[in-house]
Amino acid sequence: MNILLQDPFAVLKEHPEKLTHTIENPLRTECLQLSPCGDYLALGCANGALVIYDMDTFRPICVPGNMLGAHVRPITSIAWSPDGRFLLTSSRDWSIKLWDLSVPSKPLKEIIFDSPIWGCQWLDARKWLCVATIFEESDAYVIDFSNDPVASRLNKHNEKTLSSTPDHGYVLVCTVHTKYPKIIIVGTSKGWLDFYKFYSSSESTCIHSLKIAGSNIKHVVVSQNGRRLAINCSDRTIRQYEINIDDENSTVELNFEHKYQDVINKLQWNCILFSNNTAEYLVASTHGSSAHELYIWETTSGTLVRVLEGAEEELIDINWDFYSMSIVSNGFESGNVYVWSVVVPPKWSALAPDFEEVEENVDYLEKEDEFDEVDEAEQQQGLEHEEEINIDLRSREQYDVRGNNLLIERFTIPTDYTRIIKMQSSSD
Amino acid sequence: MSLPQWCPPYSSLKKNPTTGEDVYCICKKPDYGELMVGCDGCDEWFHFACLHIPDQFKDLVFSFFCPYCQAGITGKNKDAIINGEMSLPKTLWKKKCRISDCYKPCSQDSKYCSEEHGREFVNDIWTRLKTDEDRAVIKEMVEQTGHIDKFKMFGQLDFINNNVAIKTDDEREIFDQIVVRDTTLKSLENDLREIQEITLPSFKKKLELLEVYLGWLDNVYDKIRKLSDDVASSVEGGKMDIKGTKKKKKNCGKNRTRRNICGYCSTYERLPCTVEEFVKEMRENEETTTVYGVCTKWKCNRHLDWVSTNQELYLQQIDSLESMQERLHHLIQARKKQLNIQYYEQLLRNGS
Repeated sequence: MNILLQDPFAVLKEHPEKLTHTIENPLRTECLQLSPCGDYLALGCANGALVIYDMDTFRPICVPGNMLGAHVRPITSIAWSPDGRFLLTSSRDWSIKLWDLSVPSKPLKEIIFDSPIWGCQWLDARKWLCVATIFEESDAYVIDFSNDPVASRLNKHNEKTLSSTPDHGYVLVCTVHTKYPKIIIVGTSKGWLDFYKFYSSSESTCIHSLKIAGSNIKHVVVSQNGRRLAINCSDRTIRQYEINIDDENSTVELNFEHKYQDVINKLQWNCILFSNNTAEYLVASTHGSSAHELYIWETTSGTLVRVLEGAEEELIDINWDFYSMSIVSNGFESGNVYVWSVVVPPKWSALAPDFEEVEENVDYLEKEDEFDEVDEAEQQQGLEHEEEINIDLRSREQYDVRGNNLLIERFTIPTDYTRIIKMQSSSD
Repeated sequence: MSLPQWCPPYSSLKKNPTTGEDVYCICKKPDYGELMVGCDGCDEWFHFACLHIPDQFKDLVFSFFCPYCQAGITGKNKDAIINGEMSLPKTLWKKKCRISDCYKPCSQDSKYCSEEHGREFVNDIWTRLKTDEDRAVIKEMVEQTGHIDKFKMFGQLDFINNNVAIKTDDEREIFDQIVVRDTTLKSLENDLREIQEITLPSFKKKLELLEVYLGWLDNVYDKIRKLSDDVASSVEGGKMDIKGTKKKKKNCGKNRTRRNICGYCSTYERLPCTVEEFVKEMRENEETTTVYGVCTKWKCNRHLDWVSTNQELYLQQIDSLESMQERLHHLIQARKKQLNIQYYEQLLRNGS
């Protein structure tokens, strides 16, 4: 049903509330990622398989690498290109693979390192650049997939090194700033947060370094508008900062805003994620078999607003689809995927404005002029007048009611009819 | 199998207690001359009507079993069935004639009860052919083949799948145009050749080289173990005189031999050096972690599990390539068939 015709109070809810679907995945989901418009859900599995589910039907529609070149160890991260056509996957089998979903049977390109990959992210999908963090490495790598894949270190040891302590530990996570795509943020095992400015594969500078905590940085997330930053550390704390970067990308300023902790059980957080645009909400999953919920906080006040229940196991990775306002998360034990959404009660009267829904029977009172005969000419004039209003049916709206951009490119994964049918049609 | 819904529970009644008449069937009524069938399991008689079997089927019974025998309640082999040695009996029917309202069984090696019905069936098909064109095609087929066995070959796959016999230059030209120059077939064959000759052997080679390297690594492990045993025993010998803590030292030595170096080498396709050279070099440079490009860490988290990961990777690739090869074979077969059909059709068009 058209979202505009539905109950506005339900539509405008800013976070989902109810567990609506469970996607069973016998291959055990290790990580998940929704396509940019939430049409598809990519699941990285424990045996290295990558399965893409269609989010309308909740059925698997595509298994990249089904013919050749799938991963052989658990997938550690998935990244969609902004147009939804290309996928990057990193795995514990030491490789990063690039997939083209228009020819999903085998990887387009791949690069193999000499140790497991923690994760990879697109740096610039148009230029085929991505950043990755590798196991027991002190620097992140920038990988250029434009020709034969080449990896180069994101080196912090240059003359402008800002910090006095050289040893930041091993790199664990990397993320690219949402507003300034040249800024790469890297988190290390000793609690350091390093900001790099990227010029080219061979040139980058460290513009800011900061020790956040004494332990591993597990996640770094930046809000869509680029003003907020949240860091998940293994010291059981999520720290939220306001982040300011000048337009020349040369200075970084962080202002501490809130700290989120589980004060009672002192649980670690598995994964964190911001809501869209200005990041009014932050969602996190908890570590340990005792907790089965997702927590949602309001970021301006730092108060807990909602606990998403329904899963009966520990939850690991989280992803948020802002178009249909649903949150997906994978369970640790079964490997199934849970989907929480906003349930909107259908309001059918919106389809016919002349009708109204009534709770009980009402005696109808005829209106004074209801069955009056109207002069035909007058009526015709009235109709013509109505017709003069120009209704634009063609141009698409730019934003949906939730403020998501509707005009961005969406790639549709082609249906894989067998090649025999292809051959038959080509022979006709 | 349980009794059908319409069937009453089994009763062993043979005579009506009041009238003394013999009673039969599931309805337990006397025989009034209706159509009945004898059960091959319990030798009891049953009405066709009571069992909901149409009367026309009377000639089609091959072996009949009543509902009780089919449910395992009565019958000769009841005990064997209960013990699970035999399966439940089932009523078998003969194949019915192809004429829809004929309920006679087929005669041997035929689809019809009699020759007349066979003629009737084919005649029916003939009259259903609407256009003269269709009839002409059939006529031509019959005339061309000449013999009934050859006529039966129509529609069988051997004819189409076999290589085409070419007689004249004209035929050769058409064949070249349709079959030989087909790009789809060519690309399929190229793909197959590439897999068979290049891709698949290269992965098998890699797997072999890995095995060779692992063999080399085993030798290195042996050598290291021997050396460390020597060291341990010499230390042991020296210390025993002083303290006599033989047991403790022995454990120490054991612990060391159980561990091996990581052994990961990114260029394992070529053996780095001889075992002796390697061990010598390694003992001289104990503080470094790579010797001749081989990782010599005793406890290496980084390359943990590298052997099985690589092996699995190659095995998986080989596996996928083999199934791809199979698929390509099928596709080539299918394409060839299509092209052959096209070729024959073209011949016919040229002929007419």
